[in-house]
Amino acid sequence: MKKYFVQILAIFLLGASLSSCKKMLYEAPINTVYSENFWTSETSVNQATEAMYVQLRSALRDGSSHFIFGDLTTNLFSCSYSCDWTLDAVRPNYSKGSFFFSYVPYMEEPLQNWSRFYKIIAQSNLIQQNVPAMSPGLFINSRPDAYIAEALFMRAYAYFYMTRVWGDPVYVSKSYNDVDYGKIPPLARTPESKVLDSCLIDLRKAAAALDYGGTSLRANKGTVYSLMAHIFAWRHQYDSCHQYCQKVIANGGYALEPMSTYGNIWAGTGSQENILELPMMANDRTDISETNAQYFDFFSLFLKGSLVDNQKGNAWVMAKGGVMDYIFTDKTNDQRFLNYFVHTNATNNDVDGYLLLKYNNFKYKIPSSKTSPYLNNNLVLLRLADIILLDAEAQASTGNLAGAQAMLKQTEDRAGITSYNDPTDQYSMLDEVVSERGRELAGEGSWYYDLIRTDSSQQWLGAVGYPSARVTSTNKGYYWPLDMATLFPQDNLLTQNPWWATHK
Amino acid sequence: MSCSHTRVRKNTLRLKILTCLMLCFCALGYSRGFSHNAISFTTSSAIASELLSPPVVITGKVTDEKGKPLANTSVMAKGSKYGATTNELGEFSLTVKDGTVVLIVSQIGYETKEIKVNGQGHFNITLVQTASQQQEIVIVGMQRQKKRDVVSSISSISAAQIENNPVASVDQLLQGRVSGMNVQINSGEPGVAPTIVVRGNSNVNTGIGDKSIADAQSLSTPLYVIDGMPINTSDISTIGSSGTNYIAGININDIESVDVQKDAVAKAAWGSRGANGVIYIRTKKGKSGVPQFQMNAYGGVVAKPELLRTYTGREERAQKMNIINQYDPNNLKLGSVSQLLTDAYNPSYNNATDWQNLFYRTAAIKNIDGSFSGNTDMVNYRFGVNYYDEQGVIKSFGYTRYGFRGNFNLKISDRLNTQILLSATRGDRKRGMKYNNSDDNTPVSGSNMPTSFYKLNAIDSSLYLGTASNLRNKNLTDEYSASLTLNYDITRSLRYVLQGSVNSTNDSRDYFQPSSNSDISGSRYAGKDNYAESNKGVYNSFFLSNSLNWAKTFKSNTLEHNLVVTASQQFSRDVATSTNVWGYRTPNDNIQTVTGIAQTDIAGNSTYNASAILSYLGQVQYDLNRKYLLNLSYRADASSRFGSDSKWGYFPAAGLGWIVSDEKFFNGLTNAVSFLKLRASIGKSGRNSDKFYAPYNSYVTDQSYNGNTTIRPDYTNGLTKNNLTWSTNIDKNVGLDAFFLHNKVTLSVDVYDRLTKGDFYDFNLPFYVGYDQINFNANDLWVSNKGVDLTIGANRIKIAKDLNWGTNLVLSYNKNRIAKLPNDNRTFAVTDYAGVSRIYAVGQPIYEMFMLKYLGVYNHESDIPFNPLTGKKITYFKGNHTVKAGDPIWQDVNGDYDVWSGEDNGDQYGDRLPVGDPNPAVTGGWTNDFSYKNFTLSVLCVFSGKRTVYNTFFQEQVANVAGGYNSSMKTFATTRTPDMTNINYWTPQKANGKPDYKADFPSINPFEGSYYQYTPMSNQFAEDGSYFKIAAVTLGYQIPNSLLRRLTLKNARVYAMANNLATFSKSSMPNPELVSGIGIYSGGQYPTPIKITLGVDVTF
Repeated sequence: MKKYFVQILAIFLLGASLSSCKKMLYEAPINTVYSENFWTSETSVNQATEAMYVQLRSALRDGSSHFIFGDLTTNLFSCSYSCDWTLDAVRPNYSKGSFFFSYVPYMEEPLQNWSRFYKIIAQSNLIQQNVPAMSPGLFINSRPDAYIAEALFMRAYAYFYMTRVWGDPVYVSKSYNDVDYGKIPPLARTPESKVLDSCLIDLRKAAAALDYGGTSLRANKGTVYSLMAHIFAWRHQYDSCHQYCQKVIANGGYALEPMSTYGNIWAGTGSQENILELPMMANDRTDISETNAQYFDFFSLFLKGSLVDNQKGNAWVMAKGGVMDYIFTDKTNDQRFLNYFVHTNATNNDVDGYLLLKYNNFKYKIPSSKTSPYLNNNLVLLRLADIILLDAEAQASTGNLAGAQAMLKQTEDRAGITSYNDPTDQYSMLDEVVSERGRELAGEGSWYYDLIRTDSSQQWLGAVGYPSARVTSTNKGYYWPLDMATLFPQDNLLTQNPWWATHK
Repeated sequence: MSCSHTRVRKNTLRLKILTCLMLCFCALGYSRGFSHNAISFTTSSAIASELLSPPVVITGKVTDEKGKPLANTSVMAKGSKYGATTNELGEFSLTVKDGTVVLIVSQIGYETKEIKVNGQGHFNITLVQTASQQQEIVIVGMQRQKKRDVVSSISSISAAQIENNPVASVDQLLQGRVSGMNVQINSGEPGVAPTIVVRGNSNVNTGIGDKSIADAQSLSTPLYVIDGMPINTSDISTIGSSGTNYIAGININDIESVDVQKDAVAKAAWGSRGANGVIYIRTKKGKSGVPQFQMNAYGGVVAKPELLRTYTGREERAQKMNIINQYDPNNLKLGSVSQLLTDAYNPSYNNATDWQNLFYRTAAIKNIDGSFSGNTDMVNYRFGVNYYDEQGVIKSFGYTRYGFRGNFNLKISDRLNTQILLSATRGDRKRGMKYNNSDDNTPVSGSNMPTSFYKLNAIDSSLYLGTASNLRNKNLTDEYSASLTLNYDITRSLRYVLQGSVNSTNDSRDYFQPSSNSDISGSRYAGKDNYAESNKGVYNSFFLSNSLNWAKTFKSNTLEHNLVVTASQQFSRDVATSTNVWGYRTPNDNIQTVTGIAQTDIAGNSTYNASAILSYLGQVQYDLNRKYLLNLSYRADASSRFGSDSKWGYFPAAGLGWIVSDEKFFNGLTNAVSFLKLRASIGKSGRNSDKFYAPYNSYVTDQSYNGNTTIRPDYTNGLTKNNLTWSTNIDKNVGLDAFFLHNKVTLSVDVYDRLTKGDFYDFNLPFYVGYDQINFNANDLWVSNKGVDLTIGANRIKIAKDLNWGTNLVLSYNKNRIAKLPNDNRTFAVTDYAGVSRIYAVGQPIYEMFMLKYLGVYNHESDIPFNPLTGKKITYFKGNHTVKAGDPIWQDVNGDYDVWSGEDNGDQYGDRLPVGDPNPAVTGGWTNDFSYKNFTLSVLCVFSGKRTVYNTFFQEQVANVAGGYNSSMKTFATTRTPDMTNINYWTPQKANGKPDYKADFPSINPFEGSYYQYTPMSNQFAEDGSYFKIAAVTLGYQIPNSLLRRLTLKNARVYAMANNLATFSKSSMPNPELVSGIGIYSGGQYPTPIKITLGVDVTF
């Protein structure tokens, strides 16, 4: 009996283990989703799409690079050694040796390394690859095309952003899924014109699949056209730029925020003026240990002293007698200057000047103990005033001074100034546009690109302190250098930007 | 010898003692862990049979060389059927027909002795152990083999070598006792695992910038097999609530033997898990014919460690002011000197606080364990219970274990027997304020130690200590295991074996950090909120194997073929689950659990991870005339951690052996060489992925967007491919075992070549791919480990009358090299968590330090070289610092008259050179045993040589004075002074006008700006990491028989033991063993303290 019992038991156990273990050998995780089971619902696609916006937000927030790229470089703001010694050296008129932006100790990663933008592009490519394979019946709230359109928009936005900061990017439009990871062929940089051609093709496709309206937190037709207008302006194709600006102005459903509620643009209240903004309000915490310090650090660059409950003693200051005085010609009437700039004395090594108040919605997580401060604002990337002024630039550039004046009038009237009446020729009209863009968009991470774009005729870069030989169209010293020590080992065909190849 | 009356009395006595023992355990808190199920047992009445009335009676006593009685020894009259077996006191009584006989005395493990007897009488017989335990059984894969017949390289440790050592886990005791194995006890914290590497490291980890990764994954760790069940300790650590060493759950005195299996044949039998060596632990079984009770108890002190030399008070001020005066002799810069230094009469700054002294103490250690065992024809059993308690030498540290283990062997019928193993253990580990396994054992540790000038009043110190005592840090590890083995003999030569095992580890940690902590412990807890956390983790392993074993001997005239064939199917399944909740701001510091926390401040998660391996294994063991040996094995593993296109891995191995000493031509030599075996083996083994779900592109949740959670791939390291598979390890081994001079001298040598290919590797991907890294098999990543394992022993060397000496030298030499790298052998460098750069290049060892080469000091301006093209002096730091007298000499490798670790022109490696290998080339141990009458003395020394370690402790201390990232007069004043008393550092005064002056150390001028010269940039702080340690000294005394008899004891021994007695090294560190796996000495590591224990070991 015992003998048979054991044999039966053995066979039973052997059989049982064989059948059940086959399944266990292919057991998939339940803690996470993975590529094979993720692309199976519209919810997933929406999560992946919003992840792109999160990645963009992280990329711009990284080292506060968005404001460094777009604002600090214009010399409108000054940053003292006490405020941030690594950035003290960035400014073009840096007194102790003029590092310009070649020397940003410990900030190579955010400022000279574009890798993080390729994560956005990879995410976009992944959506473009996977969504078409899904059954259209899975989509209830939106069309699959619309998600693909957002992915196309985001890829174009990332390439355009990189192009304006570093020049020619390395262009990739496919997913690296199943390749030999030890032997990925190196890629050379793609000329800017080709990259932007591809972006425009993508954006046309995206526009066709999207409608006007909807939230400014996600791309829609108006957002796509706004980006196209910017790309055309960057390429000095001002006819097309004007055309797309007009589409946005006429059909986008946007309206300028009245001066009385101007601050709502950044307050996360869904201002009618906003075309694209990234939510950075307190409710976007994901981890309880995150105190929103990052958000605090990001926006609080511009704030100090009593404005932030004395949490900070240094800030980026618009120096008296600097670029700021050059563009704010009517300080007595400009409501923007009167309400959104506040004077601060020279303190703690910071210069005597003005602080920017666009991002001053300030809170504590625990008000009673004043711990965990955060700044409760949204980051606005595109808004109607920007497009109106872009149109002014386009019309001025194509010789339609009256049209340009009509555009300038809209934002200047809101601010209570009338300097749009002064210019009489194309050069001074364009100068007025550049100044007004500076007044309107100060501290929004964009004015530097205006200076580059218009430099061939207006030469503002020289005016704010850059040596003229550096910022010629051949030397392109207005682009940031690449961190070749990190990037070159990954890609042996990568080349340094022309100016930095000889001047770093 | 005995009448039934006395026996009854004795059994009653045993029962009484056992009851006492149990009560003892209950009192010690054992009852908290387990229920009070009464343990029932029956004592066997079997004892040597009484004999009929004799014509001639011969009596005697059989002992071993140390005088220990040998029970169950067979005593036979030659050529007759008369025989007897010795009792527990080694005594026998034998009746023979007439007085002239030859007695044959034999016992397993001892050399058989023949004694001529003439008439009646009493004989004292001493048996000598057979050489090197040739008859011992080792388990290779699923086969039991006699050591004599083994063809692979296996080192064994027996219970006697390790028993009663006062440490929590057996892995520490393998140090210096096994050749080919590098054990570094780099933390003295009770319950923490040492690093163990068998035959060289094969892990090339590029994530060493993260300390936790460097600690856990930088070295290749072996597989443990405990009583036949494979246990992956690094996987168990993934539930990681408490971080306690799994092996600490096994009572050292329950261990019968530890076999370390190092070469192809032994490792291939464990296939995809065997590549880094196999440590096979067997627990004790019942042996004695009659019930036997054994009890061990020891207790002792753990001495307060020698603290780092610190200057306090007046001495510190004098030293600091001396440094200042050296560089500012005319007191021109006194204005910039901190008030801390200048205001010597200020009571706030006029103190002599020894911060270290606050946290260290002399602690106690105690252990008590008992066992109860027996062996009859039908049943073999052993119960063991254990209580171990070690206090930490740092306050609020310690480890306590309560354990139970039962091994039963039941013979159900002639053909069927079964073995049942049960164990349950609770480990309770106190970890002070420590959250993770780290070097931060005290609130102020390593180079962070503040100056002694600060006043430390009673409130301050209680607050500092309070960070340890008010903080709740409860870490419990409960380990349960159960195993059932059935052996069924289907025919005489065919046996079926079924083994089913379950192993469950339940780990929990409850942590609370009160809010008041943050105010006093400075920057380490910057937040002011309190924090509570509760984690529970369960790791369950299931193991099932079905084996058929066929053993047959074929005989012809002169040939004898012995063949054993084993076919086995195995399945193992691991399931790890955990539940974690944590939150900030409990309503009150007296609420120490996750209770009453606001919704926004609380978080939690639960995890589930499972994996499985299905395996088939075939093994063949063949020999011809027990002289020519052949082993073959072939294993196939399918793992859930392999990709779908490569589910199966195959691991073949072959080994050959030749017992030369059995050849006829050898006959003349047997007096000199009594045994000689040559061995050779070759085979493949593998390493499985560390990740449970390696074949899946797992996505991660990112931040929320407008309140919605987003999901995306893990762009840091989240790619995989369907052909993900095991990493391959190819071992070649040639060895010999020899015994000389009648087994008095033993020698075992192995030469090996171990090549690891396709290991899991973090590929750095080009930026345009989007993913930073992929962890995948790198076909082009080869690591070579070549070396020699050597064991030489001598025993029974008679030095004087009654004084014998035995010695054993274990020596391992390993040469570790990267043999091939991906991307056409592209060299790269990674900076580790301490800031030391490491080069990964073909021909270099793994983790070779890659730094500027320090060549001394520029003593005089005239020593400084000029660039002949520009006429300017050599510069450092990309031209930012022109070299001047007193600066270190750094080698200008690229000859550009500027020395730095990188250049702005894209030369990312600048002037760095490979300057130090942290892998010890030589490790080993030396044991000496002396016996004199009833005394024994055993001394174990271990050593480690040819290793470079980096002293970031001293480096950071110097950097606080000058030349660091933040060095200033303030850091100089507020931190502990480095010990510069014996260092001839450069000063202008010493150099001025003395052309022959030579400094041993560059200038440490605190007034001068830093060009980062004292950051971990050059090898100036690299030191020789060799050491020689007196690891254990044991003095034992065997209670003489006469006394034993009176005490009605079978055996008793008292002993005194000293562990970690002394360490000798060339380095400036107190103990160069206290470095991380990659060779970083931070000064904060938990010291390995001296332990002095006294104990008694009684059998009755």
